[in-house]
Amino acid sequence: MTSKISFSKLVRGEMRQMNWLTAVQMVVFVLFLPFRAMMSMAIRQNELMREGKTAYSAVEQFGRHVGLGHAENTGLILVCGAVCALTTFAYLHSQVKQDFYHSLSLKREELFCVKYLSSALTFVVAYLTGQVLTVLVGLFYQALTGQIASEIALASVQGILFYLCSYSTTLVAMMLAGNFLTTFLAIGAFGAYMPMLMLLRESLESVFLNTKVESIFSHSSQLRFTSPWAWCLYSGSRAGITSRITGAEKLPTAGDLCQIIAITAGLTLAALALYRTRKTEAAGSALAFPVLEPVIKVMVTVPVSLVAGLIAYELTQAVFFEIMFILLFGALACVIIEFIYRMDICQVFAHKWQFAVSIVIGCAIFFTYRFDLPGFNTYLPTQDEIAAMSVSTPDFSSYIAYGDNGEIVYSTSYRERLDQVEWEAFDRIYELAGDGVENVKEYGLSDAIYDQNVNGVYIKYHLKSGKEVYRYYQINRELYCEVMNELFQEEDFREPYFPTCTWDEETLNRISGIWVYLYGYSEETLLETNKDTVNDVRTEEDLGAESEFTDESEEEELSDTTEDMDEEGWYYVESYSVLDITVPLSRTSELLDAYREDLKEVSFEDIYYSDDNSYIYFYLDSTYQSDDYPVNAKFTHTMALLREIYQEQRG
Amino acid sequence: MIQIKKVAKRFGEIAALNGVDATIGENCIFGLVGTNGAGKSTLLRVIAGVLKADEGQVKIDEFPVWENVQAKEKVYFIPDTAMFFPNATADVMRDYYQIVYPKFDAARFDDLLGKFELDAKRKLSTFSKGMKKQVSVLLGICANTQYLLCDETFDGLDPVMRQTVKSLFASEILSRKFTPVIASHSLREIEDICDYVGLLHRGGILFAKDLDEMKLGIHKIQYVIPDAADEEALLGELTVLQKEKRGVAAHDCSAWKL
Repeated sequence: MTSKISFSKLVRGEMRQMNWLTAVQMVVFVLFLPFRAMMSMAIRQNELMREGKTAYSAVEQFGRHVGLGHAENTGLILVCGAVCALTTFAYLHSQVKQDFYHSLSLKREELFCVKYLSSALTFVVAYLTGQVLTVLVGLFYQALTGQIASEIALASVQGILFYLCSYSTTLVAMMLAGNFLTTFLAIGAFGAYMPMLMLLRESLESVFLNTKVESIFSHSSQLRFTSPWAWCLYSGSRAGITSRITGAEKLPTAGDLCQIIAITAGLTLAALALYRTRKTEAAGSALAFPVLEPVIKVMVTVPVSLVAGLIAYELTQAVFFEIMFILLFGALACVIIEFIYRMDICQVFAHKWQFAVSIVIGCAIFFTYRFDLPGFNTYLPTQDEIAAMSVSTPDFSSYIAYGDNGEIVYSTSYRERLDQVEWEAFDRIYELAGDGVENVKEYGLSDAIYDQNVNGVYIKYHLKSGKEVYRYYQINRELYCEVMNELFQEEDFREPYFPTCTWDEETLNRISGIWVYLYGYSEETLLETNKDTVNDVRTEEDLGAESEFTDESEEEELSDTTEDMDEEGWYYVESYSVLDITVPLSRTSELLDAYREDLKEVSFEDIYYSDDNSYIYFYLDSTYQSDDYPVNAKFTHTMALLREIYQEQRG
Repeated sequence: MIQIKKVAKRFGEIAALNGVDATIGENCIFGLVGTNGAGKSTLLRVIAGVLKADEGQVKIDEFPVWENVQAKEKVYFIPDTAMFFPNATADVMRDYYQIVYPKFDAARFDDLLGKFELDAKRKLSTFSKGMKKQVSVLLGICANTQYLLCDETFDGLDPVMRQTVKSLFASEILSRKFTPVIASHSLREIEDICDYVGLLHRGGILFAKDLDEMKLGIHKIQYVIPDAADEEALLGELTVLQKEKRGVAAHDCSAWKL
């Protein structure tokens, strides 16, 4: 049987108690939405009156400040969601208030719905008022188009969904906690625990797994999976009219909105389930579900002890101190958590077994990384296990290639680039990997490896089992160049490293621009194409990097150059020059033919380790995604063509 | 009728209620008496459906009270510390109670406020403890529920007000189905109004009786019996509630009899 209390009347009654919350949100959203739009339009008008022109039209100016894609608005909405949940369900932490609400003739789910809805409506009223006023501002300045109006409507829907998502997430945290202190800690944990854990894992791997390819943060979009708030911020920042003005239209899809709805629904149901099972007497205690106490303690203490171990390693690299740090900071974390649970200094050393479990887990994880117990760094499958291998280094700079489905993909990820250059006759690549593993075994985590003449190389093992393994090794440079010189003789091996050269006619039509930057070249040197006259334009960074590979005579030359360093450490580079040429698209095929022809004649070292390396940039479609290929004086056909194009353009 | 059957409630290691059995009839005033920590407030919270009993069950007119609106709509709970909205006045609370208690009599509430000389427009946060108690009692009476659970409600009321509230309860019982359950640590405070009294001690009800019958039936006897066998024989004939012995030998004894 349901209550005789009128649901709608009760919602209205609750809203009346939260008038202050509506008012505060109203002020905030009026300032952030219509007022901001109005100010931007007023500034534009002022600029128009003073200078007679403006950077943006009225519609563009208005569009830049309303609608989707404003991270600050998303952040504000998420804060509103959290604050509303905290204030509306604050009664959960008060015995007196629970006596009142839970003695009403309402089921808990009914009370939950009333509270949830009334609080959400305070936001909806304030937010929609702000959006409607924004539309009126647009009308007043004659800057409102149908497109902008529809985007404001879509932004309103998205904003409400973000609010509900944040609200429900906060509610789950509140339901688990028993008082305000632990509620705030729980909210912080919901928002930051997973990113911190990812950061910790990344730190451990970057310190101890030095053959690992790419960090998890190289795919920053994965961070959105770490918390509902992160998901909302990610979704809210990647769409909007601002991006449409720059040409990248990314309106949120129905799928995006459905994802948020699904997350919100899941969290709301979780909060309701927790509310129904939560005991009334939990008010005031640290956790509403005491069974979670040891779990949370371990979940906090283990990462703290890992961080402590990592700090000790960085400071001392001594196992004794690493254990001491893990013990000390683990104990400290346990003491603090126990104090938060009991608020009694006499009980901070209670539950020692939880401390022991945390420390054992912490030590186990830390020393597994520390001594690479799974053998991650020294992993080398037998040749029989391997189906194909691939090799890549930062030298290769082709980012655009055909993807698995034949579409053009752009990627700066080494994993994806290694996927595109697999080679089945991998004996010599295996030799490189073997050298890399030997170096790992010899030098371990020591920086002494960098004193050797080595080159950082990415290698992929594509095993017959289907498993794909990626590693980053320091490989003897002589061996590396020798192997690559040999492999580059094979056209089939070489071609995937220069994908643009093998594109079909249809795909070539997608090239939107070809720019050539000839570093160290001047008009005279290009026309003469005399390598000896090409100016040295190497920067400090180049010099530093190159010094690893140079023999003694070259080092002498470089040391002469460093004499030009001033007091602040800047290098003077005399007669610095860059010659840029824009190649007409009509000559794309001609250029690629010349480049292909040159590739057949030059060696790997000629391509990548010439003093006068310059680059040809191929731009795709209307984006800023480009493929850049090295070019130097040894590319005789290409340079001849560039000279010809340059002369034509100079008239 | 409120039926309390073997209700137990623990807070961690503390047993607040330990198998409480009691029946509270209709149209009477039931006093729940006990020392501090006896479990009076906990029992009222369980009856009001605020707390869930770990064991046992509370039924109101045959309906289990936990998460049951049919039972809960018959009950109004006045806790020891009443909850009012921040910055609320008596008017504001009246309006809210009209929503959550469909039978709430707003006109009567306004009338009683006048009689109690309480300002309906004044913020409740500025009221004294006693005045707040008065407002919560008036809200409870005007909610027109069948059962009114009062937790230490007479604490903080001056003697005149106490008498006025008692009169109000009496007149309510005469005019409609109304059963107040009044918890107090002092029997004297409620003995002049209660028809029945339940004595709660360490989480269990020692007995629940008609107050008059109880007054007649309980006696304190002090005796000296040198012979232990005689004492045993005497005790076998009496219902002893509490026994206390004093002295180095078994010379001085005292017993409570029901």
